Amino acid sequence: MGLFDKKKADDCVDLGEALAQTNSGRREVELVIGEDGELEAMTPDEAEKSGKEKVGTTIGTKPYYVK
Amino acid sequence: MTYERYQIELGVLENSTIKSKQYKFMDMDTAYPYLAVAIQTNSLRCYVVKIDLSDNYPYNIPKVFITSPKPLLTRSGGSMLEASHSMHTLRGENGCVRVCHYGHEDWAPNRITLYQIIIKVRIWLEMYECHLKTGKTLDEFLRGASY
Repeated sequence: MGLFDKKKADDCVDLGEALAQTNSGRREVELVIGEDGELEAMTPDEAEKSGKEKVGTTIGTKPYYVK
Repeated sequence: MTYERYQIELGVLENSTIKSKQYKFMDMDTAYPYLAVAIQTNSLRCYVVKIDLSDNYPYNIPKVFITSPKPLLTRSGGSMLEASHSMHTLRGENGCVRVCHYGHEDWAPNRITLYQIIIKVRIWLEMYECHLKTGKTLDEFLRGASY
C-alpha cells in the first residue's frame, strides 16, 4: 500500500505544453485532479463532464474561503 | 494562525483531493509552526514540501520549501537556491529550494488557503519535471499564468 494509490500517468511535458498554450491564448484547458491524484489538462467541456475537481484555471479566483 | 483559521484550513483540506495521510501540521504550539505535505507528481516521484506558518499566516505570504529531495537541482545539475524569475524560485534556506507561489498582488488572506498553495506547488513540481526532461525553464510553461 502506497501513500498515494496512484498509477503512473501522462507525460508531464504534455501537461506543460497545454499550460503554455493556454497562457499564450492558443488553447483553453482546465486543470483537474481525480481521486487518484493525477493532474490532467483537458478542455473545459471535458472537465465539466469528468466530474473531477477543477484546480487550475480557478485557482486564483475561486473563493475557497471567504470570511 | 488562530485556532479558528486552523479549523478552516483543516476543513478545506479534508474536503479536497489531498489525502489526510499526505499532510501533517507540525509544531503548532510553538513559534515555528509549519505544514508538511507529501506531494506525488504524475510521474510518481515524491516530494516533501514545508509551508512555513511562522510569519503571521495568513496575513503574510508563507514561505514554501521543497525539503525532499534536498537540494533540488536543475537539469544541468546547477543550484536552484538563488532567486530566479525564470525558474519561479526565491532565495532558498537551509539547503532547501524555495518555491515562488502567490505574489503580493495576488495574495488575499481571506480567500487563499493552504490547499491552494499546495496545488500551486504541485503544478510547480510538474513543470520542474518538464524542465528536467526538456531543459525549458518553468517560466516558459507558466508565464502569464494564474497557476
